[in-house]
Amino acid sequence: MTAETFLTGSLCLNCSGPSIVFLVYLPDGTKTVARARSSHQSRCVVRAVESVKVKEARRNEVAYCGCYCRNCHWYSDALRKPAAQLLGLVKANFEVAGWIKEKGGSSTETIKGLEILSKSACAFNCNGGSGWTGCPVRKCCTEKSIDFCFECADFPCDN
Amino acid sequence: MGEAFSNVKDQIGFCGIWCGSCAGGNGSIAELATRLDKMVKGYGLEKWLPRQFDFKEFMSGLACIQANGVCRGCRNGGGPPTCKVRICALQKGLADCSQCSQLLECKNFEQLEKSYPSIKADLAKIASADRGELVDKWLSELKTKWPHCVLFCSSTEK
Repeated sequence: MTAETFLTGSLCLNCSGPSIVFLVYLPDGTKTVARARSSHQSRCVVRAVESVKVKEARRNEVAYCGCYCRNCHWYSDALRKPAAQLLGLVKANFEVAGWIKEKGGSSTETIKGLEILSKSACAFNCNGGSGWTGCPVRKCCTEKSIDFCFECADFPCDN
Repeated sequence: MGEAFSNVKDQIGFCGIWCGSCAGGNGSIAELATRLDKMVKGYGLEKWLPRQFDFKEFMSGLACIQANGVCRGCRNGGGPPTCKVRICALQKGLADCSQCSQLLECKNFEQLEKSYPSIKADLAKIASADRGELVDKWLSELKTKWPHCVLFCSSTEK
């Protein structure tokens, strides 16, 4: 059985690249076309699945009110990182705890706060339940079961 | 470059440690606390943050770190007041400990040697060098070192 690879004129549905099919010559002299799992196509399928996931995640990163989660320093590393860095320095330089006590502050509470900040981040995005727990906008949107405020007839409202 | 750093930049302690390289004295810890403070306030994170710690105490702790007085540097009475090395060197009237005949067996360095084992050897190395050149060389190295680099870049870069 011999097989000959060639490019057909059709395009891949996933990536618009050339689609690869195998032309298979069977022992009885007839030939048939087989769509094989070429490396191109398996890569392409993975990419397509990923892009759907990414699109879903990106959509969830926009809150009901329209705020974009990635702009928030609590969602990104922008808050966690400096807190962790400062925590490391406060621990390494024991005199810093002395400064706080000298000025009448509580060094244990400050270190505890830094520890929590350096670990905590917005675990999920707003749609996933993180963020400001008392947010009236989110409460209203979940009650009305809409994804974004602009879908609401009352938009813009006082919330 | 802040006031804290220009204060300590030209001082090398009796032990050979450059005051400019001290994160507490050169102002880099205070600078980081200022940036974190601004971020927490600017984002109104009080409403959002986890409740497992006392937010007011935390913020006052950050304020205390920032409000800590500017260090005058080891040569001008700053630094840890109980440092045995400095007290001893001042009593003997030495320019630094490398001039002391008892440096090798000196017990005052024990505490420093815990975190900096090669301190005596390094002190002997810099004894004959030009102090101004040394500071210039260290300064160029410091700009790329964490956490001191925060003194040389704006908050948007780091």
